[in-house]
Amino acid sequence: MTERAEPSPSQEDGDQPIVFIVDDDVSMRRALTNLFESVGLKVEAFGSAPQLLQAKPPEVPSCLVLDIRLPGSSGLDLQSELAKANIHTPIIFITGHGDIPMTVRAMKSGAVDFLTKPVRDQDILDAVQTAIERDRKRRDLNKVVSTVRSRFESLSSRERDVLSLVTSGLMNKQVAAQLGLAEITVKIYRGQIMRKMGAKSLADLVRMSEALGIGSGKRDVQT
Amino acid sequence: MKPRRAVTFGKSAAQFLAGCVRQTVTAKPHMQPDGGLLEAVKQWQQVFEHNPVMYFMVDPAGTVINVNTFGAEQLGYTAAELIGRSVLDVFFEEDRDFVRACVALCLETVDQSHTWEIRKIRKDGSVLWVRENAKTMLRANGGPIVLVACENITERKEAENALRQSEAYLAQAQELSHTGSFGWKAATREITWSKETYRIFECDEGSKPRIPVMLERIHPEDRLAVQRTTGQAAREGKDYDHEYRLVMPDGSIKHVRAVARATRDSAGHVEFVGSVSDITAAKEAERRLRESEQRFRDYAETASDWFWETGPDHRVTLISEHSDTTTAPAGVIGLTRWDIAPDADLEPEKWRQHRAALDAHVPFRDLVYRIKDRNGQPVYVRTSGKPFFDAEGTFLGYRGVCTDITAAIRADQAEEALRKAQAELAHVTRVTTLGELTTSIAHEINQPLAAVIANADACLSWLQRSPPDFKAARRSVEWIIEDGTRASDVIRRVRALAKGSDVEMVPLDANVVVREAVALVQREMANHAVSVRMELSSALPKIFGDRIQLQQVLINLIMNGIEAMEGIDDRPRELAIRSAADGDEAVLLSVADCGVGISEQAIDRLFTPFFTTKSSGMGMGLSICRSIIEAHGGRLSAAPNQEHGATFQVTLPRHLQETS
Repeated sequence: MTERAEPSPSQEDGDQPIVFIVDDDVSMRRALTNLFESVGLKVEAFGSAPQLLQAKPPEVPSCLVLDIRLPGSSGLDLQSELAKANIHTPIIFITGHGDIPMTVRAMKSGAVDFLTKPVRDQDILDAVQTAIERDRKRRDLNKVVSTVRSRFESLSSRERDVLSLVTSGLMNKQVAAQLGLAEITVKIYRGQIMRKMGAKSLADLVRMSEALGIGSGKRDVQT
Repeated sequence: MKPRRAVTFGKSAAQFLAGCVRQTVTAKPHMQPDGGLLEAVKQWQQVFEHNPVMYFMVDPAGTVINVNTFGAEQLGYTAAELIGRSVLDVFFEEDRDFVRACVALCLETVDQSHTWEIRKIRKDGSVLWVRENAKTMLRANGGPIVLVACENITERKEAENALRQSEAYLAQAQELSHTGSFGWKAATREITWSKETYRIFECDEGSKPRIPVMLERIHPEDRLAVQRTTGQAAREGKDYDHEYRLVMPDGSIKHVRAVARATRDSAGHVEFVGSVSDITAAKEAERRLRESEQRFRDYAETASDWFWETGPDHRVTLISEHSDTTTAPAGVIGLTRWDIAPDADLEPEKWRQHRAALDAHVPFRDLVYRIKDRNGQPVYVRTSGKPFFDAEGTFLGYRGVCTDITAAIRADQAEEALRKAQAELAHVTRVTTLGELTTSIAHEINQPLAAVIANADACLSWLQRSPPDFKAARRSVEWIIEDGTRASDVIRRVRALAKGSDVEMVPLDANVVVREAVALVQREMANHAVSVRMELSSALPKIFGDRIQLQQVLINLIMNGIEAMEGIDDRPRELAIRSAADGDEAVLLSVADCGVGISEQAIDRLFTPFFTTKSSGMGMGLSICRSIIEAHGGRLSAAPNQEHGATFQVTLPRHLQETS
């Protein structure tokens, strides 16, 4: 037997990842729950897509294990519905019989994995780990972006202008010229921006503005 | 006073008579008694004593004053025993008032004689019938005395009684036998009828029977014949015997038979004495008998059966023949049944049992064997027979009926072949259906198997923990068992459906059949986004049928429903499956879809083989469903729904409890 992923004891309870299962078959639902729980994963299982949609979106790293042939709407329908609701929980599809067009569609829509029943335990556990990892990274990134964004929002409009131009690679005096300011004034703004944004270097500031999606357009205009 | 008189006249009649004579003599002093007179008295005394007439002399109080020896002897007494006693002592208690009245009448009418008949009791208690002649005389002293002379009429009385009795017997016999008697004097046209004759003619007994009245009663169609018969008999003085009908006042018809014997009276005139019997009941019985005989003759002659008789040695002695039976074998007289049957050697056990039954002289039923008919063609016959015996109980042989059952046997064989072909066809289509369901069925089996594997993996994982979680591991194993069972259930159901064409009719719960069928197509419905609504009645009588074939029908109907809803997107695809009791006698199962529905033209042809609206499939499904349901004694019908889709309805008769 391969070594199994043990739950990391250091992990805070509130941050423990959750595996969501949607399967209309009671025994399949029960078995998957059992399997995930046996490796220390937290599980929430649902019998149908609407039941899942009614539940609160998770605030911890999570993944979704979906039977592709759900009654009423298929797993693929659920996938697109979740995307529409801006819920980006990674999805692992399980199906009883390989269905190539479905697989393609699922992968294109960003499914982490596509497994056929009966699944090898290592395969699904690996897939779940991968998916949770991906979700954790996505969440971490989201967290960084939102910090930067809130810092960005604390800037005055003049500071934002300066930031935009500075991160697009202009020199202080070029910025001053474009904005009709004295170079010294730009320097002061720049110092204030560095402090407010918590940036240690210009490189830091550039990464931040990239994460926020600002700056690049202006440089295009320039060239 | 009585004793004194008794003393005066002595103890015997002779003394009395002598005393009387003496008195007479003394009463007439001018006449001298002489020897001649005494001699006369003596003679009279002898006459009195030995006259075979009983003489009694009674005083007004009823005391016997004198009685002659004969009289006393007739009553079993001596004269001395009777004299001085009340005369009433020799009469019956119930007659005494009458005696008193008679004595009183005599006393009132002196010198007039009176006669009556009465019973007396002898000393030994027996009865003495007498005719009494009595008269009161006044004696010389003016006192009255009743003289009674009695004549024994016991024999006559007994004869009279016997006659009366025999008349009563006769009347009763007439009444019981519904036979009355009559007399007819042809010359004077005078008729006499007995009571029963009146009753037969329903005439008032008080009226004098007259010929016109009689003729009136006679049925108009018979009147002339009656007149002719009686007229001729009267002319020729001959006996006659005829039957005719009477029409009663209430319109009912009576059959009578009149028999008369002719005699001639002293003047040479013809007289008839006869009887008339009400033979309506007999006539009716005869009519019924004739009818029943005719009925059996009709039966026998119209049936293609023939009748046979065998003797004590079981050899054929008689065979009935009628025109339209060519089957009855010819030339079998003198042969035994096993000589005739060519299969005797092939089925020795059957014939051994049959011969044992014959030797035991017990009836046998429905022996089937093969013979050759008159044209040499093999035919199957069925025969039943019953032994018959004479009055002493001696076995005389068997009588029975033989039937040609060749056609029935051929029909049975054909039906059996048809049934088999139908069952095979049903099986083929069932397997075809299963083929169509393969994907769903594979899923149905794969699903629990996947669960088994996941649970098994989980179980290992629980055990690998430190410390191992045995509770969770155990729970996992329990689920493995559950899911494994579920997978094997699916396989069992599929195998049952795929099994051979043998039909196994058993009592079934229709709801169980429905649930099992639905379980097999559950996945198919899910795949087509069809939801099922089950409305199963909990109070259903059992049905009688083949579980697999009925499931096949239901699966077929459900699959049809699923297909009918294939293109439907504007409403939920719902299949309603219902069961309900149809009265006391049947169970209704229905499958309703909300699909494209069926056109009126299609409904007519829906159940015919090879009719299909689909691009795939042979179009055998519904036709086979219908033949399956009809083989179960039920009906399968289809009707469009009011709004969307169609409803297929199966009616199956309830299972009738067999009383064995």
